[in-house]
Amino acid sequence: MPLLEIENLHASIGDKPILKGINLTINPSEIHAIMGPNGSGKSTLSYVLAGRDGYEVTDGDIRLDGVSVMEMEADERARAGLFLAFQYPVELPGVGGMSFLRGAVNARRIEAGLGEIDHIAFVKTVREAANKLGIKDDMLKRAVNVGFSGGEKKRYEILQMALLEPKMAILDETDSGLDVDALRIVSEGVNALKTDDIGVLVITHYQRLLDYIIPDHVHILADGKIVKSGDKTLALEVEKSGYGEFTNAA
Amino acid sequence: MPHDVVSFERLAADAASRYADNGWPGSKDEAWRFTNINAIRKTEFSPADTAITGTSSEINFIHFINGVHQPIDNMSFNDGIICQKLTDNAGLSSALAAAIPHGHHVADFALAHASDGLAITIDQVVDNPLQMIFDYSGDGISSHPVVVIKLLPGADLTILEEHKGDGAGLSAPVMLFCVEEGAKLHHARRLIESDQRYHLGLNLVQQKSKSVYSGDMVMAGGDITRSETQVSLMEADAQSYLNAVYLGRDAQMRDVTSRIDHDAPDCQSFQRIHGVLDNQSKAVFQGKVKVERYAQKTDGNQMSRTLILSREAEANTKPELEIYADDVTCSHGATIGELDSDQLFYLMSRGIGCDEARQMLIEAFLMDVVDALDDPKREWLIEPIEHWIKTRVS
Repeated sequence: MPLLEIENLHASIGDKPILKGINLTINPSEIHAIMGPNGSGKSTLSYVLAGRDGYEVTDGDIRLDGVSVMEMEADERARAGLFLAFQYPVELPGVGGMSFLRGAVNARRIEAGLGEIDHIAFVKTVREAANKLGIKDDMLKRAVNVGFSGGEKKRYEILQMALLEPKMAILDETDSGLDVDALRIVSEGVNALKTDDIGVLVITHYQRLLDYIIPDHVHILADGKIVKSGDKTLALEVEKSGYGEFTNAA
Repeated sequence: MPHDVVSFERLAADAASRYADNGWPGSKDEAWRFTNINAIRKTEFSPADTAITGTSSEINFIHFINGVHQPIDNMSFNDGIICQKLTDNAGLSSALAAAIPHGHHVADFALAHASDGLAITIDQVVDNPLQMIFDYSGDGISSHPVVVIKLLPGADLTILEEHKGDGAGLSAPVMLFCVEEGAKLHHARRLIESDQRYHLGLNLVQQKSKSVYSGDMVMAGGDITRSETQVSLMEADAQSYLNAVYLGRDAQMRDVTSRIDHDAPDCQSFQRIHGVLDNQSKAVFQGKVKVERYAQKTDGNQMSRTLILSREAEANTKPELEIYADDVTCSHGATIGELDSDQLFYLMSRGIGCDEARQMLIEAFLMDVVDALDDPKREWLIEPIEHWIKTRVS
């Protein structure tokens, strides 16, 4: 069964249509990349998938594991196994990192009937996962994303992804603001998760992230529609000739 | 500063005649413009006259019941704390008489009806905190605890103060804190009276040179609750910190009023007020900072932030700066807003339910004020905040 099915998805902000009929199917253990110029609807797509308020879905369906998520709030979708790594992770002053991570993990565990995670064991799990992503202990003690550099915020997103073990991960412009070293660490973090049946949707403007996270399928998004699909060579093509051809076509 | 000697009896009699003339403030009184006290004005309160026989084995423990303190004979204190009846301490009752703002409605009401008060002198560094517990009960009863605390030069004291109880009564505590040269007073107050009570409090703080007053308050209880603090920075290099958290729900009224008089150079005052209002609750923060001509190098900061959880809640902020000196740094800011939708979505996108996410953000907003405090103040103030958040009906 497909992991994520996006069917004829139309979405607007206010009266303005942004997504104009997106169709996309992602099977377990596949990596898909959506590339597109600014304003093509990339971020809207990630928010609509994650269930953010403020977007009106006017037509179409989104199914995770065969079940429509359209009536689910953002938190229900997350507990159902959807994860969005934010382009701009949000600062939460006063919300301690550890209690945030524990709250997120426990929300999923409680729904799955597993009960709350053991506090000491969890701290150890977090430290180990953080260590692999080059996240220092000191960062874990701070308030969520407060005082983090751009690269630190992105690593922290991947840490959350590792701890939450989603079925389907959406990475929204995860490469923006990253230097080459950080890009490598973050990509390794993503690739490490790819061992199981996880599906990954990488949303990006530039091709360079796809040197590290190799996609099985590449789609070009322009003016709210997927205008071309192909394999990883499509990304290289775009890198060479730009988006001009697609925006004109759309 | 020498005062005329005014006995407590004389002070009470003078207040009674002023109260008879002036009564309660009306809505045209600027300091009460946003605070509707019709419910209080319309009630004929009977002054409490409870005879107290309670005893306590706890050290540094002061217990008031309906504004009347337990007999002094039964109290025990660490060295450095001298506790007397105000009627037996003409020095401190005179200081209170001189400190009461002219024509202050609450002060006059309270002093007119108070049978006595406590006069506490601190003459050294006291390690253990002084607990002051004010218990109230009974419908239609007014309680008027009066406390004067004087820290002699170099003294250091932590006060943990609590106002609690039930019954549709009125609490009108009047307190004066004299902080002498180089003394430090750390003061944590929590107002957690039950939902039908009224509370109108007046706190006066007088600071001499190099003294520090740090007052932190959580206002979580009562139907109409008002806390007014007036600080006089009388001599150079004094520092005053006033932090407050107020929490309102249903149709409750919250009023945090402050006035800081910079009467000497090189003093600093910092005020941070965070409020959360739910349902149809209303609040006002009004803070006046007055810097006299000779109070050069004053540093005065004031920041008020209100989180509105319901479209029907109402917050008013009224900062007032009155500056006559030319070499000062003064700032004020006020924000009123809802929970941040980006923050809420971020938490929910991690699987945290909407209600829990809102609670986390409310808690973070409130903890911001008290989290940096040292225990036992921190613990004293966090408890009522957490209780309020937990019992919030979302």
